[in-house]
Amino acid sequence: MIAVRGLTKRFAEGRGIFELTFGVKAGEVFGYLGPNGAGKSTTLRHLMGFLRADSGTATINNLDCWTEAPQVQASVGYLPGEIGFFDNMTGREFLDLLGRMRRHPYRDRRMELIDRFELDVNVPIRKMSKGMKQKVGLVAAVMHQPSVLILDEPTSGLDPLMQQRFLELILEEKSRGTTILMSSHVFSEVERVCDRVGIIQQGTLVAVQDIHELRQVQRKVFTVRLVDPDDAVRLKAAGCRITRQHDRELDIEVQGNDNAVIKALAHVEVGTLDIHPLNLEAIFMQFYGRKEA
Amino acid sequence: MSGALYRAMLKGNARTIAGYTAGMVFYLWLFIWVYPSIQGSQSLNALLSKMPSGLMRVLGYTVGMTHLSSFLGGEFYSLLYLLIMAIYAILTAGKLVAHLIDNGSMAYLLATPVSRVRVAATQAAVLMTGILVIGAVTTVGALVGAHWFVHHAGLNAGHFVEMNVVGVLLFAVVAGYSFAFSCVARDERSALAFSAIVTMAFYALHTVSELSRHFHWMGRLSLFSAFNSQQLIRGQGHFAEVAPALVLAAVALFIIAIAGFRRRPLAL
Repeated sequence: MIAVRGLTKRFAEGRGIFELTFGVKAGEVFGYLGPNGAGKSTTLRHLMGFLRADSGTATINNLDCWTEAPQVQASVGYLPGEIGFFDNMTGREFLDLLGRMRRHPYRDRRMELIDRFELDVNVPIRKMSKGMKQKVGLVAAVMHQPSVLILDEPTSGLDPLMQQRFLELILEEKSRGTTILMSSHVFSEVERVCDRVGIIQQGTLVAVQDIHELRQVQRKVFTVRLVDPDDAVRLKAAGCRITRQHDRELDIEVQGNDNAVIKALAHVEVGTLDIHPLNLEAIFMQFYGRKEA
Repeated sequence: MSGALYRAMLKGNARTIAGYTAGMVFYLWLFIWVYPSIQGSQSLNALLSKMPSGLMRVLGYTVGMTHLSSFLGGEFYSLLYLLIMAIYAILTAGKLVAHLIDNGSMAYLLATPVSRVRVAATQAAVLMTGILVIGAVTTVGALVGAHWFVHHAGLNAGHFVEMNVVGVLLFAVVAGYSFAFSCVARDERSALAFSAIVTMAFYALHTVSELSRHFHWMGRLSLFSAFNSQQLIRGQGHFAEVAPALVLAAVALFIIAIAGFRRRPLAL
């Protein structure tokens, strides 16, 4: 559905994107992850036909994103990373304009989205908060029920409740068969909705991973508070990887062998037990080659 | 063109256009209103006739001030009219494209199936609509004002309209290159700067060329030489040649602007 092949765009000072190749299958949700300035937005701008590649191609539905941009956009919904609007319009006027430019008002779908995001569309956009503007942008991106959604940092500016609503919307779109490419630097939001993730760093794609595979290799930490501190030795003997021990409290790192650890724990006196899944963030840190979260 | 975009943009610019139009007509009526008191002044005309001819050309008086037409052509249309129209053309051209790229809202327009060429053509149409409205209302306003404020104004309506048509076409050209800068410049500030510099350079060339015969050749380099308001208002301004030339220049500039916009990289 979305195909990026050898896409290269060089900017001044060695920045840009280099030889990117990845694809998003029809109906798939693809998370595009990377730190700020890694080239996420640059990639999406190529898909929208805003930038022309130095070499390589970007296609959606087998249409070239640069030369056939208008045809591509007929089936695409886009949320830009930078929020900028026509200052003098109200939210309603803005959505009306985009609806008319698409030659369809999409009234029902629009009303439903406006209700869902608790959006007051009669306010002039310049008086809206960042989160409100983000909601207007989201409604504009999905109201025409596109078959492809390209979302650049979609949850930025949304409060936790609205982030939740947004993720529900993405899952709903996914169940309708929409192909979704969303960029983010927040791993937890992609983790919940994406099928696959691509990780970009300094303009280069460093990994493309199936989210289920990632989950399988996902590590967990059992934080156990023992009644008898000497039991730590017994746990170690039973094969538990203890990564931290402080008096009676210890962390056991678990990777896919939950059952073995639980069995080992059954033989000791456990005071309290907490389980922390190490999120994808921690897994991805190895790609970034830096320690800080 | 996109009808929906045209209507929305025109609505967004309606106040601006109305403001410039109102300002123009206000100044114009002020000029027409004070004219009778100047017309009667024999000493002023005597004084003007003693001034060096170069200076008078710079000031826009080549035929004295005995008619309303020469007064308007020399006073209003040689400075204030140019100033107001130029400011409208330059600022609005910047606002219609470069500003939307700067603040990111262009992304939403181009994310629809409306092509870049159609979006740019629509914005160009909005810009030109403003110039036409200001020009047309000014023309009618002047004729009405002359009728109201001056007895026996003696304004030749045909020649006056011709002069205004050339004025509008002149600013179609100014709008054309300002729009081109707006379409290709890296941001709104540089677009405005380029447009203003080119316009001021044209005006300076025109002014210097009027000072002395030695500098007459400079006038050929200036766009503003096409708008000889004093001659046009008396029907001696080569309307038949000037008007089509300006139309061609404006059309060419807008085509260049749209072609430039079609190919430019956009960080949206």
